Amino acid sequence: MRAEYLIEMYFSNGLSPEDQRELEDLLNKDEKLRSEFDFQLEVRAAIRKKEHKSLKKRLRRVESKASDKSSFKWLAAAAAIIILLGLTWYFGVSSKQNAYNGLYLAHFKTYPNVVAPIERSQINESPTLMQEAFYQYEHGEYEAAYGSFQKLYDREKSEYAAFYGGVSLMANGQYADAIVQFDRVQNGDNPEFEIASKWYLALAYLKLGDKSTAIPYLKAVQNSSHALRQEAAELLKELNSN
Amino acid sequence: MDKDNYYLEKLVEGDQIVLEKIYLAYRAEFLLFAGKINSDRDVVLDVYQDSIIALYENAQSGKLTSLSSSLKTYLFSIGKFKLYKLNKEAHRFTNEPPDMSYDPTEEDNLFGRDLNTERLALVEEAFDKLGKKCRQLLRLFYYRGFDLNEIKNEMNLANKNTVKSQKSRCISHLKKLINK
Repeated sequence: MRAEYLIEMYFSNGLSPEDQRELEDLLNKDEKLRSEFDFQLEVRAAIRKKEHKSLKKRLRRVESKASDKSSFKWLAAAAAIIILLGLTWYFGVSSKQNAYNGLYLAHFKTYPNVVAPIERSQINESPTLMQEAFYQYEHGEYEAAYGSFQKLYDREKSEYAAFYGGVSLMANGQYADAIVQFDRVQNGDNPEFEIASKWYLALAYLKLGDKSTAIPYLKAVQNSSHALRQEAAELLKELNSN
Repeated sequence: MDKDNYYLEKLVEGDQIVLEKIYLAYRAEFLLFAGKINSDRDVVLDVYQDSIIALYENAQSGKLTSLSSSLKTYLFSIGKFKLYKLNKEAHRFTNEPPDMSYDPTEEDNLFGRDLNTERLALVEEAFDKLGKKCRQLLRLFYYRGFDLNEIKNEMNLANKNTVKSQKSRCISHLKKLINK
């Protein structure tokens, strides 16, 4: 039968446009044929739906694996590993330095202002450079303080300017530059600042990882009558156990 | 293009592992491309999966026999169409590209029949109850678009008439199961 043939052709993708029109015609004329054809369309749709469901399930599985890979969880884990590695490297590479870093942090304190205790009322009038320097020093503005102390030293060549300039530099993390300042206070006229400088020199050398240079300075402080001698003794003990 | 045609061949054969490979190969690019049309990632992924399935289906049914452009272009044009269609349905006014008249996802509603979901579920259920041979035969005919000759060869049947009569028996059995 022609209709049967055309329907078969339809489902195997073999219908030309003219054949298609012919089929449409036949279907319009024959109710029974039409319902028969409709049923076959349903069968095809049902099978497609079935296949679609199982494929969708499969692709969803692939998707969840793919999106897990790019999920935040994975990124967080990767980031954590990278940070861990970075920290391990950081602490590993500078292990020698780091052992003293702890001691440095435990013992470093800025030296108290024993030169010109600031009174509020004095600041509001035109402050002298010294007052300004100590004001900055006591307010943690170490970079500015160093600048002011440096100016003072240029003018007066005074030990306190070099000393507090050095301490400011230490507080600002500039250890090598601080050493230069403290060296200026050695063999000078001011024993307090001279011994205190030795203390800070020891700390600076320790921070830079140079234990052997630090120790003689600490010994000198320990053997002096300066208030820091006890702490120097402690630090020496801590270093000897390293 | 050679690789594309090789993949197509595999899809015609029913290689679903290759389908997964294709899925992963174009996934990122599709997400990027589709993101401009629809910002909802879940929707885009859903459309992508449906497009991949459509690709497979077209290969399986014989609708797609060779590629005139690339596999990617074919796949993406299906996806693009689906996305714009969704936007239209949601009354989202987007700038539709001019070539949207041709529907590559055409569900073959040639005779203007809209197929009822409940009815389909019924048919599906009944289909699952059919015997293995019937299921295979009907699948080859309706899903794969095999003609009588091809089915005869695939299932080792005597001749075209045998195929015809077996098909007719399966269809009437299916009808009986539905009407139960």
